[in-house]
Amino acid sequence: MTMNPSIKKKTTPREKKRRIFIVSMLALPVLQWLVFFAYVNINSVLMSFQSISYSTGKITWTLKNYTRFFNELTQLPYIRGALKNSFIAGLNNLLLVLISLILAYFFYKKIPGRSIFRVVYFLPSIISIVVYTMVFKFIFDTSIGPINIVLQKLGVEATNLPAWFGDTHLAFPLIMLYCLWVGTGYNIIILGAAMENLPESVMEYSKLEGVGKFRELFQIVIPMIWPTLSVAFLGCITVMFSLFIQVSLLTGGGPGNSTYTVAYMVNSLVSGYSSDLEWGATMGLCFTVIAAPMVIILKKILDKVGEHFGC
Amino acid sequence: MKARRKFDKSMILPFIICTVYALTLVYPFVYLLIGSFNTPLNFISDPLGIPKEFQLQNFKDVLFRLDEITYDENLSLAKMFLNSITLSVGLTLISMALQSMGAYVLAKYDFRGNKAIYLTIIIASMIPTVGSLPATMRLMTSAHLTNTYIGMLCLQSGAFGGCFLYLHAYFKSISWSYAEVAMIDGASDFSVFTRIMVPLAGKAIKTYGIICFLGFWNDYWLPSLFYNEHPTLAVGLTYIQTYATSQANYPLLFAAMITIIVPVLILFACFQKQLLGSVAEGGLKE
Repeated sequence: MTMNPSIKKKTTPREKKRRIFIVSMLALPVLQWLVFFAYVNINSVLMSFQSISYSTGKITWTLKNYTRFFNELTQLPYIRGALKNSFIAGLNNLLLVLISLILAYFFYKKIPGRSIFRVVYFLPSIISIVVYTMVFKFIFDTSIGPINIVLQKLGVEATNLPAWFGDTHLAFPLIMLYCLWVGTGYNIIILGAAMENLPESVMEYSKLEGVGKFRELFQIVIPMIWPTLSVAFLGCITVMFSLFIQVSLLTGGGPGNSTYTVAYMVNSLVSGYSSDLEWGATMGLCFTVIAAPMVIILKKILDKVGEHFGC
Repeated sequence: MKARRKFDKSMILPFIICTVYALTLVYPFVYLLIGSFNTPLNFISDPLGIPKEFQLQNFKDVLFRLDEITYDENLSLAKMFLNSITLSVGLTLISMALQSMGAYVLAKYDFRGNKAIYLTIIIASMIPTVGSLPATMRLMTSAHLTNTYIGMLCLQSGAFGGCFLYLHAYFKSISWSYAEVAMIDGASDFSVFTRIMVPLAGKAIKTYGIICFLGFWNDYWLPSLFYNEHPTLAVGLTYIQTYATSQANYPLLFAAMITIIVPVLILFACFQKQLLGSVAEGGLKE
């Protein structure tokens, strides 16, 4: 497209060299993709139809994994619990995007100290998740955590102190709180950049018209940064089906199965000693079948809203 | 804050909210820092108190004797640091090189199959795959790639993820006329790429490189699955946590956490502007 056509047609040795160049530049990237993306994903479909004997290593082809999935989905509560938690995680991410949007708008409106806030809020994105989850666990630790110590000093009976991560009803909400706590920085940067790119004339106009801050945010800013915002909204589905490192580091799925998410169920099978990989692949596929249409539908809806806004 | 404007009263409540939120993000590190100078016993008896005397023993232990204390020779700070550095630098260099190569050829050369490759990549990256990890594990173990450096490189040096699209767009925006002039002077396709195009895209490659590097440096999950015999700092820290909590030696763990985040904070302080700028840019082009 950008090449000079005269070179391309006349000189065959040059063309030959160019072919070698193109092939050698693409060989490694394409090979890596074929093995670690294409092959892996095709193989996970195949694996879901396999059962491997641990003693002999013999592969038998079977539908066993799928019948197991439907049996456990209908008869045992834990898969449904995981689906419910994942759904909540997606909604939680929506809340995160909205909070970040409002914070980004404060920054855009030149709140004092914003350059410091921006850096501080971004800290969790550059410090290892291992450190931040540990820190979060310490805060809510029942023996050395500041929160329970302060509650005790305020006169709460030791027996009434919340068990936080030890409580089946509190553990998952705490993971959600963690996601909100550390998640704003990245979103603020991206949404903030979209706001900075808005044409000045529009903002001048709303200033002259005396439009209130919240009306300005909802009626002018949101429609104008819709393309960026809808990418962030689409991320909610990604979070729904991929949230698991936080679960793994904060609770390990417990107490009980109360903090299972779908991705945690699939991925914890890989790290565990049981490692029933075929079962993991089957669950993963079943959830992908749920996730893929959700992404497509949400994308359609977001595009429709965008058209309405005239983006 | 350069041009100080008239104080806006409607910003008082937002300012308070923002300040409180910022404090919650910073306070835990103050708690860690104070605790890291304490002795284990004093800390347990009064976790929120100021230590009676500030001692540096925990930091000395973390820096020089971590392997002795935990009875695990892999957990010496120097070794973990070396693992983290070699892994994240190697991965960053290789994946940036492959990404630039792939993005450049697809952006600048018109050949049969170009569109097909590009579309396949785009469509494949849009399918949300929940469970490819079990099959990845199967591949890594059957190819004996687990716990090998080369295995980590193969697994994570994908050229068509992460910043491929941005680099593709960037190379597309560079004018081809530089290359034409060089080619008339007899430069080969390869030297046009290395001598002209890469330097021209240098800024973009550098900033995405920093983002890549931080991602690899902080990564926990893949190294913990496929490289756990050579613990990186992030992975090693979880082992230290297991040891420290079993011994109720929290100050040691705190000192380890502080030691581990300091290099990252220094790096962030140096590249703060570039980093935030490139994150913003990446988000806009999506």
